[in-house]
Amino acid sequence: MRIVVLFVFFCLSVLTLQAQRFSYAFNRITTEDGLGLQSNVIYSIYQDSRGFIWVGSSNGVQRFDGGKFVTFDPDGTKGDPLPSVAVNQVLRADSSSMWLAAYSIHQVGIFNPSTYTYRVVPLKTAKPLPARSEFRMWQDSYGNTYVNVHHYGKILKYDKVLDAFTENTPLNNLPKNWKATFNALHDKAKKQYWIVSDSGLCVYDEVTKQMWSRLYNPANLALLNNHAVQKNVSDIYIDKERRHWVFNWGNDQHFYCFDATGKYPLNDTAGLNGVNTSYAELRSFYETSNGTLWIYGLANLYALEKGENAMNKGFQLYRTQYLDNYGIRYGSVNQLYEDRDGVLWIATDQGLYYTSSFSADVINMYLSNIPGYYSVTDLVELQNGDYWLSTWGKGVITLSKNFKPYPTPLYKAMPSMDAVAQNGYKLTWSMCQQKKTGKVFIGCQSGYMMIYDPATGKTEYQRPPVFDERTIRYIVEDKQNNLWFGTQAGRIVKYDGKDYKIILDLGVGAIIYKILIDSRGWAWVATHDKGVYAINGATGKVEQHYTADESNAALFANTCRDLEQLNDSIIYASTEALNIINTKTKTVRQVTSRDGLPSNSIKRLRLDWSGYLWIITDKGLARYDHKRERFTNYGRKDGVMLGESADKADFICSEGYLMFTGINSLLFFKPDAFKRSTPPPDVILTDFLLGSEYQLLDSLQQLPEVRLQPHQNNFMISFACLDFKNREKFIYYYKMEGLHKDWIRADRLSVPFTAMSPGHYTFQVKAESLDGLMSKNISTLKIFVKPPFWQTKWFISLLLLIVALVAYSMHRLRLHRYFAVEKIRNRVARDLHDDMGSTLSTINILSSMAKAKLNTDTMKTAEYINKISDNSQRMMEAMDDIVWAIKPANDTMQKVVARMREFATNVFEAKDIELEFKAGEEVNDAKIDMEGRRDFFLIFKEAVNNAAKYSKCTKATVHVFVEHRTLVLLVKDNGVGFDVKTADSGNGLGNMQKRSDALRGKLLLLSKEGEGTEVRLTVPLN
Amino acid sequence: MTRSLSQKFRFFTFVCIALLAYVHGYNLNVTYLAPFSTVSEPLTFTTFFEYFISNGLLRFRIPMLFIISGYLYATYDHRPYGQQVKKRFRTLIVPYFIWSAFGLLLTFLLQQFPYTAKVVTAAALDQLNDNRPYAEIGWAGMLERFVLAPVSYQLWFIVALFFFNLAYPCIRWLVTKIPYIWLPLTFLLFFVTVIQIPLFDFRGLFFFSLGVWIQKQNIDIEKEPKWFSLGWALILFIGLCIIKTFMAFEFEATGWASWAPLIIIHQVAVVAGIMAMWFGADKIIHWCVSKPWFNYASGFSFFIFGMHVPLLPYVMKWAVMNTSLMPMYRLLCFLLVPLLVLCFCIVVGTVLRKFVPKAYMAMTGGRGF
Repeated sequence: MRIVVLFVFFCLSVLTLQAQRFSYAFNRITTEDGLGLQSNVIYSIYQDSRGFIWVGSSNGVQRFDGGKFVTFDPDGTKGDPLPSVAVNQVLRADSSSMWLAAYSIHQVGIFNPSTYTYRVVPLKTAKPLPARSEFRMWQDSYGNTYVNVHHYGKILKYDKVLDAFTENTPLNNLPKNWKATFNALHDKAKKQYWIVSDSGLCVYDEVTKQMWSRLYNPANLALLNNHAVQKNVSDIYIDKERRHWVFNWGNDQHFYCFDATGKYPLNDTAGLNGVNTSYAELRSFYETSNGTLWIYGLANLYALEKGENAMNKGFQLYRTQYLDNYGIRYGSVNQLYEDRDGVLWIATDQGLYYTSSFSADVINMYLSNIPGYYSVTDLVELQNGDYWLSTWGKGVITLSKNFKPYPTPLYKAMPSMDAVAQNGYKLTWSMCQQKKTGKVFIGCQSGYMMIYDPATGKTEYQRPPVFDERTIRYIVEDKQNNLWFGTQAGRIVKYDGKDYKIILDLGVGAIIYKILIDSRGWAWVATHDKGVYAINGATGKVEQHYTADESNAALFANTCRDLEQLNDSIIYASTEALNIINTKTKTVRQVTSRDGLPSNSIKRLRLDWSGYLWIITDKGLARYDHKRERFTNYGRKDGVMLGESADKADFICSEGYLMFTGINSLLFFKPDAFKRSTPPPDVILTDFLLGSEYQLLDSLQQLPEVRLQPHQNNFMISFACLDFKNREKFIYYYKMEGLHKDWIRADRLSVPFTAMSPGHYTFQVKAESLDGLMSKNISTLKIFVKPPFWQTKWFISLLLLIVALVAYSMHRLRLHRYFAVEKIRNRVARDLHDDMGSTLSTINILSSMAKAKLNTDTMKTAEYINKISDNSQRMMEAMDDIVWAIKPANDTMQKVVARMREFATNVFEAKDIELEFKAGEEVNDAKIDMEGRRDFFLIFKEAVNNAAKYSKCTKATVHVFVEHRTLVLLVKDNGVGFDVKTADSGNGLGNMQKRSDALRGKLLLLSKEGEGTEVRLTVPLN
Repeated sequence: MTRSLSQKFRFFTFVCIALLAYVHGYNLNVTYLAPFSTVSEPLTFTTFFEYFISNGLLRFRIPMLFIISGYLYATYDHRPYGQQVKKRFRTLIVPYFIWSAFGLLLTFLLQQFPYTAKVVTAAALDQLNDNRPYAEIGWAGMLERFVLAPVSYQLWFIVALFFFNLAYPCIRWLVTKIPYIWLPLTFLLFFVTVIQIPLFDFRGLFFFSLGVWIQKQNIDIEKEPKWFSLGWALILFIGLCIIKTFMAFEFEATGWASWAPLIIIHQVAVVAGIMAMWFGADKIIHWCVSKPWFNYASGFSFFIFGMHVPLLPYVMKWAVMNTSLMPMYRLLCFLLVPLLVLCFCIVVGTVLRKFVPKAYMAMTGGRGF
């Protein structure tokens, strides 16, 4: 730190009149930058809880993630449409919502980007608002939100219950006919509200619940008693140092500043008068975390830095007429906002600005306001702590260790010499202090050399012939206290204190840019167009030589500007690109812009004490981390503004500060200034590009999982740490769980995913700072790419269920068939047994009996044979019935009816009985199973047989028909009839009844003696 | 009523209530279960199993209980209506208030200790979605919970039953006179799920009416109908439950496009499940009723019903909070905690029945003696 203080002193003293040191650089974002800003007229700025910057412009509200502005479709919101006019104010509503105020349409509303909801909150006033009403929204320390309505004269407070702004607040209890203007503030410390009214200042005291003014001032507040500041008050502000600022309007604006009591003016002009020469209106105050007080408004932006005697130093006005790289141009400044990382955002009518506030450990300086005045060629810190700067044409600038300039001792006792020689000694190029002797060797143009001995204060002016009148480009000392010189004409000269010895002569054109003495005593030589030589310091032998033409160890180019050593085996060489020479394996690894090098135009290399390599290229300052193989750029956001121009010389001071210098520019910093002790903020997902359409990521992140249709499997996720200063400096790692096993280092702030297979994924991303600190939380987004329905588990299950049902049905069918066959077999067996078995037994017995009586009783034998004949006849008929019933060809009622007709005809014809057989057509369609048909037929057969055998009838009627979904069989005769009650039911009638039951039918037997018989069978049809 | 039918009723009453513990022991992130509920967690064995069991296989219980209730009520409807209502007040409403008070008291007590209060808050059982301590909610809020929205949320069942009993003459008339209108109508109301009116629960009206109808038609429910296939019913029941479970994980959380298929499959599975369980569990029933322990435990059906909530959700939440380092901890809790709570209820019931029989009688409406 000492060195910085001294250096600042140097800046302020040595080059007081000429040096220009930068305190702030203003970076401008406009509609032309391609970031998507819709209007250059910016009114309001707000950073939400996640870190996004919201800007209210003349075209509505936009969100900035550091890479681009996102515009929200006004009509796409739920609820009311977003304002598409100027959004004058954006304030915090809660952790996820913000207030938007669009005063041109008298509208205030709450916008929640997560749910994409905007709700207009009505301003409920007792009277209609005047046409020229002016509004200003503000919040007190309790989070209450107010809107001051100038010209209407009231303060509206947001009522959560009514969800509206109403006049129901004690802040409106102003003295009679006093009207509030649009300025008010809450003094949390004193629990008082200060209200600016058209008739003077008022104070509402929370403790006494009283409104005080100059008319009623029981607390005797000094400001209220001060009548000089009561008239036409425009602003009141109490800063963190308790200074009371009051601005009034008379013919022009008056500025007052009082101490903490409000009693004693600190400076009657507040330091503001006379700073700005144009007409200005100072409207608002803002204090940044470093204590700087900003005042801004129309045509002004003032800063008052914190510190002792700040008031006397006064305000610094920031305003430039023409845009340069660092200034700010505006007509009016509308809002200042400091984000959580200390970046100050400025809303102006000519674009959005953000500042780079400069660390005390990073100094940028133009050495003169005259362009190109100083061209510093080398820097050296002497053993006594003095700093010498060699320049091309201006000699050597000498500074004491406390940076006080002192007259250069080099030129005060110059011997007489011609003008050319005199000039030659001022065209200084290289410097080196010999450790052993303390002498300072200064190489100059045309082989001139000055040797200054601090012990005697004398300077020798030499022009050793060994340099061949060529500029001495580099001087370095080795461990043996030998000095090595490199010349413009490619000559390496070693000086042992007595003699100069040419070690290597590469000839004209091979400019020696640098000689590096490595840890083992080798001299590494950077040449123009001849590559890099490694010379053994002891023997003078060229041990290694690297050029662009080598096959295995090629440099990027043959011209090497600078060299640095990392460790025993690594030498860095800059040949436009970076070459990493492994001296042990004699290999070279080229690191180019393809590998992240900012530009293949390296000018300077310098290794810091931590092993980081600092590089100056045409793109400015960068740092190379050998371990992580990563380049980090440092630019305006980091306070490094002269990186590109400080490209001529470099130096590392004894306290570890790095200095780079060039034409008129000096960059001076402590490498640790860029170290970050805190981990990176959590990474925020900034965009979700699905196909070609950006999705509302805020809404998506509210979901437990982003569900995508099968065809929506191409998307890109963007992310960043919302640290606007460092977002590009973090190393990002991502992993898509379900796709990747390991973390992948992101080379950009977005990752595309294409042709994702259906499945569940979790996108994870984290950030690492350059110092190896990881962000606290891993940001995640769960994604589910739905499979097409035929690949879903439920559909596959459905198919399996159907298969199971089909299989089970087939199984049941097979079982049914099996049981049906078994049933038939059982029935046939039973029928055969019942009908055939008993009859065959009878025949067997009768035949035995006939056989026994054959020779003794022929009559009996004949009788037996007749019975055998009858039985066999019945058996044949029964067999015929069984076979007929089984035969598939007879599986219709049509066949049954035909057989019935045939049977009845045969039976009744044999008995000479007239038969009337009628069968309805619909009978043919009746569905009865095989067994049913057989039962039906056998009932019919039994009825016909009975009629033929016993009724003695002359006429019989058989009628088969369908009636009310029942099959009806009617067998009627005109025979003798019988008494049904007394009739022997016998086997025949019993079997008929059983078969009828089997058919779930009803059998009705009607008969009376002498009146014939009627058998009626009704069978329900399915 | 035959002895075997009586045994069957007793078996299913106990089993349905015991299995209720496994529905109320569902411990995924979102514990509310409706026919159309989806799961917003990854599909794992645990999540699949729990949903499959709790919102699938076990969903036949409540309809089955309503059928049994309707059947039994119709069996004894020869008693005077006033006497019936009086009895139901004693057997349903009095226990309702007792168990509602028990739930409130238990919750209140647990809220008094920081650790248990955390468990109560995490369980988030309050039916009015206000899980603040009762000390903050106040007497009016507690009274509202005592009467209308008990923390023992399972009590909705006996309230619904009581109102069905109150409306029984009307239901009987509808069931006997216009069954072909009433039963399809109530079935539709049950099937669509989402139509609800206070006090008259459509989830149970159809099944209660069905029970009445079966009894009045003198349908032999012990005999399997000829058209019925146990195999088909089981395949449909289990298969549809599996399909629905997968759907619950794969469908969107909201919208009729998801709800409709889930509801349809759910209700078909419920119907198939009732049939399959009723006609397919005879062997299990015979085995169970032959075991003394089963007969003993089944005597505490109502006591278990009244006591298991909010006890079970609190114990479950506590168990889940304290076992999260174990592998498969949620599944283990799901399997074991309800069992432990059931055993605990039976033990407590035994003690109460033995030492304070009158109190036990009041708590159970005289059941289990």
